[in-house]
Amino acid sequence: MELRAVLSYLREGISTKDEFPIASLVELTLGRDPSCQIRCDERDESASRRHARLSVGRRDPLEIVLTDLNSRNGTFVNGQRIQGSVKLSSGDRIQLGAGGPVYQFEIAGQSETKVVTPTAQVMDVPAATVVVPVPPPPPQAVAPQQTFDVPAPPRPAAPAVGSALSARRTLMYIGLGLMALGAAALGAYALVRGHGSLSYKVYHQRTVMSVAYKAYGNPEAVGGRYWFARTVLQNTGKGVVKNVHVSYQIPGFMTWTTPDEAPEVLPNQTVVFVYYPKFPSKLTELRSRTPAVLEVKIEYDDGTGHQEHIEKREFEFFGVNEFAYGSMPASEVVSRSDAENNNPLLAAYVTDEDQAVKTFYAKVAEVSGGFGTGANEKDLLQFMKSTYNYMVSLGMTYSGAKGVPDETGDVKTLVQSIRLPRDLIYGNSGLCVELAILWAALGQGAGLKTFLVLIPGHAFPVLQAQDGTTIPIESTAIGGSFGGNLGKAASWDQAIESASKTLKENRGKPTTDILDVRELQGMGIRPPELSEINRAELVKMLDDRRAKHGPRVVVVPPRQQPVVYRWWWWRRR
Amino acid sequence: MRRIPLILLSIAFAAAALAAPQLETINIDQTLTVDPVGDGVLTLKLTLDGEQFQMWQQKYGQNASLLKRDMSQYVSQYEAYGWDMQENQMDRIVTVTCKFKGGMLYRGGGIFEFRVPKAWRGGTRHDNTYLFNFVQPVADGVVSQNNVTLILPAAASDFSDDKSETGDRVIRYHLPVGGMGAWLLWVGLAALVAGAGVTAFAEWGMKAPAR
Repeated sequence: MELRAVLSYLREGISTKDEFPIASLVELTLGRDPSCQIRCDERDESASRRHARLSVGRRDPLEIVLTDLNSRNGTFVNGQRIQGSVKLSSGDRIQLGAGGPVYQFEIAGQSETKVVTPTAQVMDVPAATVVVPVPPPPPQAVAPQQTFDVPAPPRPAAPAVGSALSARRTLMYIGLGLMALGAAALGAYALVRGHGSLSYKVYHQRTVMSVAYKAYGNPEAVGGRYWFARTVLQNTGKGVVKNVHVSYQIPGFMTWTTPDEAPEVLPNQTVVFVYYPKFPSKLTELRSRTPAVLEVKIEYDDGTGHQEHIEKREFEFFGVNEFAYGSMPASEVVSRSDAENNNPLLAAYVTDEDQAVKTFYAKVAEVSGGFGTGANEKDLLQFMKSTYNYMVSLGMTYSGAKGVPDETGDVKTLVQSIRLPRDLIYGNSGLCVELAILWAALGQGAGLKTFLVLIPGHAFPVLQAQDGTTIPIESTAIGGSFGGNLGKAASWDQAIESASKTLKENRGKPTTDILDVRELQGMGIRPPELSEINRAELVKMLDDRRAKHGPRVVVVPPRQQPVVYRWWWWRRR
Repeated sequence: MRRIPLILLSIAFAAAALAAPQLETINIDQTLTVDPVGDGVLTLKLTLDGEQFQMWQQKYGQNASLLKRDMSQYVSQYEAYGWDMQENQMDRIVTVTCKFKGGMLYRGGGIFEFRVPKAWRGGTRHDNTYLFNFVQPVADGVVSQNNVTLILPAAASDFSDDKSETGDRVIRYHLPVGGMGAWLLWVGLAALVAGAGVTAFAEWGMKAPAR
């Protein structure tokens, strides 16, 4: 007798039996999917497509097992929902989902069914012929019994479903893992990134000498040494600082400048903006110290929004005739070079293009009958002697005045009133440094190279012809307090000898400073713009003065020609 | 660096300028090495003759702080620090070094800009190194022969010799910026998008065939 598994479909009077020979049975699948051996109504939503599996757990003794295939609505045996697999006994009722189709399971010893073939739908299942249940007949009708051929060998349906589920689950895990990684990376980015943070320092000059205002406004002047303000910005934050703008104004003197711009400043990056203000020429109208305020506007976007800060720094404009020899903090000064680091700015006083200087030069030429172009020793001597004699003839005198110690902030220096050459011409007397500057201005006009020699407590000029002939002159020898002989002018010879001796004694000393006027002016320390003068009045004044004092010609004794120094002499001694 | 050595020498050798129709030459080698954010090191090597070396020593030999202050004035466009001076009396070579910040302007988009001082001539490039040279008067009768080596970051690319909006000569180059931050941003975004895509595909694109 052949054992058979019989599944009877039970529903509202409908009964269909499916029988399977146990001997060849491995497993049967129940569900809505057409591939299922026990297929329920497609419209029955309670059952999953592949709902449960019936298989032979053991053959001796016989054990038939029902396994739920992770169905959506669960599998019930005798009204109890099963978890995983259960062993079936003959007479058990199997329900696919609550309210779903119900089958009665039985083990039968002999077939009581007839084989139904022609009308059944036959599906092409590899190595098996499956007769699909005929659609349920109308109610009250008795459904024909269906006989199934051996459904073996079993199809690997369940493993296929398992691997698909497994792949899907794996993909889900991968996706979620990637998202978690992304979130972690973005979180770390937020920590690393952060906002920008701009720190800044503003450096500025405490004093500005009005006479040299052009030097402060020229980035190329002496290599940019005379900058007026510097703003150093550094991004100390973690993010980029954008649209950095720095502009300046000096109320009462200058309105806001066109901003210096840095489109972006990276973390740890430093940006330096140097301010060379184009001061107005009206600064030369300042006669005494004038306090002023530098305002620095710093704008930027640090990632939290637009930021704007205005820094204010106080400073002083010196009057046009006030000269501070140093600008270095007292604690830093260790040498004369430190104490007089402003000396190069004296070149701004050498106003060879000033109308008053040109008029004076023209008068010297007129009185002396003219002189050469400064090409050689002859031209140089002719010019210097004529000029010296003309100054003496005017009664021009040297008036000594020492500088006054001054303190501005932490800067202690010597401040001296130094007038422009035009003031000397009108005033007819001057300090040693003023007379030296006047000589330099006149020498420049004559096509000569000029130098200002500064030694402690004194200054005098040196003039050089184009062929290198160099002659110093004691400009204070014209009279006044020179040599303690008040009012008396020294001879031309004495003036040269005195300067030569002084230069010889001091040349090469660390306390001696020699300024190459043309070189410094070429580097950007240019004279200021000056107002017009009444030339005719000046000429008349000079003529009247000369008439009053008379042509006090200084006679140079024979064989006492001025000492002329060659370049090799200067270099080697 | 503008005219640093020129100015220094001009001051130091002013006395020589009084009388020196003969042409003297001072050899100066400048090297600027710049890192990716525009900070760097400046080295000046002055090769002097006997008299020049003596003048240098008179001016700065016993007062190195003066040299620092003088030079600081001339490198005002940078924030200079860490000064050092070495004198090789045997060969009369003076080497001055300093570190500096603020050597480059960043234009955004990975573009950096170096402003070439007006005196510099030439500008031959070899990889990330530019070579300039120029002769300039220091004082009357004294000229300096300058050889400038500008070493830009090794990772720099797309070099161009250009003009700034103010007409100054500039060297522009590209340098990747952002470092770890940008890397994290892009990796994070990419992982998020990929993860969302994979998850969506698994949820809706792969319906379980058994259900």
